[in-house]
Amino acid sequence: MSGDMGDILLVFFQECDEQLQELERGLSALSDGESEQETINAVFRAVHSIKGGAASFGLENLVRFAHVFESSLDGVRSGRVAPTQDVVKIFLKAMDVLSDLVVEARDGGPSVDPGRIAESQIELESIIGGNAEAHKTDDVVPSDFVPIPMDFVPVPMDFEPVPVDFGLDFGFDPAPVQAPAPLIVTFCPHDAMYARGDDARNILIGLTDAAVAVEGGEITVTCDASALPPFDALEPDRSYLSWRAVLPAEVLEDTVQSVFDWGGDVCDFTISREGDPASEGGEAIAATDAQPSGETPLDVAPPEPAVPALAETSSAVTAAQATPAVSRPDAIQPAAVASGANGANVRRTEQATIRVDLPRIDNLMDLVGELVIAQAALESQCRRNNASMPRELGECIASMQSLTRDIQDAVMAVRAQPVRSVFQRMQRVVREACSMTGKDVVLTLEGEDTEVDRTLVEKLSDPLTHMLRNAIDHGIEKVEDRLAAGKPAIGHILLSASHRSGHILITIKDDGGGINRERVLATAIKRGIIAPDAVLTDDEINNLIFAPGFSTADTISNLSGRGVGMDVVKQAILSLGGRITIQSVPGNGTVFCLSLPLTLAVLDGMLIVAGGATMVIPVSSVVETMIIKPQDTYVLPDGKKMVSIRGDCIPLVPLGSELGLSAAVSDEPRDGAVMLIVENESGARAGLVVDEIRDQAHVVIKSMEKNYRRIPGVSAATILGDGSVSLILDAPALIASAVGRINTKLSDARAVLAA
Amino acid sequence: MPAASQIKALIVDDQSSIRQVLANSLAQLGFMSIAQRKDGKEALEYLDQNPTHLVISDFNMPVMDGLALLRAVRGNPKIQKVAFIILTSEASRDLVQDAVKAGVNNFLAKPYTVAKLREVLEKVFGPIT
Repeated sequence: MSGDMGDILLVFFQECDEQLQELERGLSALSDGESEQETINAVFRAVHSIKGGAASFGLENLVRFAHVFESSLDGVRSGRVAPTQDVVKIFLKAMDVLSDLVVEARDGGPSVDPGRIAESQIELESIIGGNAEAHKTDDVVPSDFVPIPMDFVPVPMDFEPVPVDFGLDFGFDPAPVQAPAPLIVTFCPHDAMYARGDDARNILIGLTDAAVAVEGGEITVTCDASALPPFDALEPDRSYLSWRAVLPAEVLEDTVQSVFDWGGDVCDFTISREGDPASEGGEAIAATDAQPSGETPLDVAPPEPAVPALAETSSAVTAAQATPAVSRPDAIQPAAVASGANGANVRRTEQATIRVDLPRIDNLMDLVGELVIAQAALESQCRRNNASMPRELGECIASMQSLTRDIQDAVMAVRAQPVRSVFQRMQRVVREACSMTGKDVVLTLEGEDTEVDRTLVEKLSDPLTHMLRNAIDHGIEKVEDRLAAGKPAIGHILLSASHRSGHILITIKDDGGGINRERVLATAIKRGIIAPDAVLTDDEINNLIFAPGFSTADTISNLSGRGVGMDVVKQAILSLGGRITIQSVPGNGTVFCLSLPLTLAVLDGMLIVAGGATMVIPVSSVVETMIIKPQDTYVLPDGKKMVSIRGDCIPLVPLGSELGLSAAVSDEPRDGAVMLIVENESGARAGLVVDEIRDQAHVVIKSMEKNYRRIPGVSAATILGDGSVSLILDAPALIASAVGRINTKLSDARAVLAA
Repeated sequence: MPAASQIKALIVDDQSSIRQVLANSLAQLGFMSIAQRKDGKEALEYLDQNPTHLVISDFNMPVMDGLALLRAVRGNPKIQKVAFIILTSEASRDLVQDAVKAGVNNFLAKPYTVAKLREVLEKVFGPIT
């Protein structure tokens, strides 16, 4: 089966992923108590399809297990076995094995533990009470079956249409046409059209575009070649062909008219509705006849019998993919133009989506990033060189800017993916964690359709896995403790996603025991993470669990690792440009909030100048900007400055000196200095004092970590329109530094900026 | 004794990989006109408009399964003379008799080889060149 096989195999594995998702969805529904036959069928079909495909590709391991799985599911499908919770649990476990086997078949990687397969297989067989019949297909058809021969009546190939000879008529009913009728366009180019380099093809393309712009719209085009002379009489610079197109009824005449804006002067064309007398061939021919005879060599044979026949055909099939039965086959060649000849028919059902290799989209995204930079460079050059930029130029630049943005959004939308795939995987994580800890936990998903950049979707998997395991291992109490606390025996975790002003917010909420602050504090002191006499707020204690090397589990459990878990989670989230916060109520549970950017590629930034350097602050973290009034500022005994904003006191951060750029300058905020009020997700605010706000710009994020290393207070770098490199500030880290108790040191940032 | 290139075939299966494998196999036998549809309903729409000699269909498909498609084909005078071959597997054992009653021409057991496919086709059409 040649080299195509590799490609088909890839398609197969993609389908397997889809089938597994389908399976997961179905089994989840069943475990929620649904018992629709269609759900059971879908579940069965998913496993069946995986098996069928695997068999075609000779993936024996996969086939064998899928077969047993299928047999058990068949028991449920046929009603012999009730889909009780226990049965569904076995299916869920089998699904995990199946999905591992698919991965094994795809990657050839570490093989699945045979013991696990065997165990699951035995459970599956126990459902239907006995061995699944051996997997063989040869004897499915009874030996006494005699194949029925068929009289073969050849039908000539496409493009030599002959009336279909099944001895049957096509049964088209030439009944009154429903309004609005399909639009019929005929056109016949003059010699002049070709002489000036135009092409009938362009008009066909225009018509096709108009047709497919309608949902499900298709176009049927017939070419009238009856005017073609014998070959030796053919003059190459003459126009002999004319066309007739049937467009969906929804297409407006005006749309079609505009197709002829170009070229309409060098061809004859008619636009009419089906059933309209004008569409009956004669009209079109009359138009042709009306041409100056010298210019028109066309002795167009009126396609009298042909066109009415066509009209009937088309009306019955509403202009879709017909290979019209025609009575003048030698003169008229049908061709579906929709997306290139025959492909249109064969591929019709697959036009809704296409699969694109990831690197292509990534490349597109990179190029768009460069385009954004180039656009900004162009703008800044124009401004620099034209103190009084002509209004027209300004308009051009503005429209280019908005187009660039639109392109960027469009590309981003292409890359966007619902978080569903990763969320659904979490069900499995929870199942496994439950079986290891012996706790019973239900995971509820919300907002699975929330879309984020696909790179983010992939990177969410590890942190979420860690956090869910932590929640089950440390958060949810043992059954006895839960009952004693008056809670339901089964723990509950809610995993939800939503969009929040340019960010995606993911929350993991459990109804466990909450964070035990005394123990966290004691442990942190024991590990030397904080000084024994430190006074911390509840929030700060909660945040200690993110400290490197912190672990509260009295015994290190198999599950949530060795005290690196939450630290790693925090690093992972930070490296995605996100933030993580905790709220915890003792006895009631814990909520983790992850706030992540929608994309890792670009952000809306505010260009500011502080200490002589131009920097970028994400607009999303700036709450407001204002001029400081000296009478509103206060100095605390420890030297920290505060500013009073409408009654609230917030710390004041002189950005230049904070970053070590203008240490010599008086730290005293000047009268009239500009201040940006920034806020983090938990609502803490600080005022950043800057020299100047310069501009607002869409900047392309270039990772610092990839090129240098992580620097507290700086989230990334970017290239500005003038080509200079600029740092993107991490506002929440600056706030943390201003509030100043958890050890966020900006000395590293100072070192970089000073260098 | 038809030439494979003359036989117009339609493959009906909900899995695109299976369809492609089958289309590849048919192409190896010299088929030149091979259409694909993903369920019985779409197949019927196709058959209604396109003269077809051979349908190779799976049993188990969403929307409209292979057996329902077979019955619909045999019940429609306009297309009832098409040769109908059904893909079988262990799971469709119970459906085979129904398919026979509905007038299936032959069965093709999954997984199959190209040689087996040719054999199954020749039982229906006679030797294929």
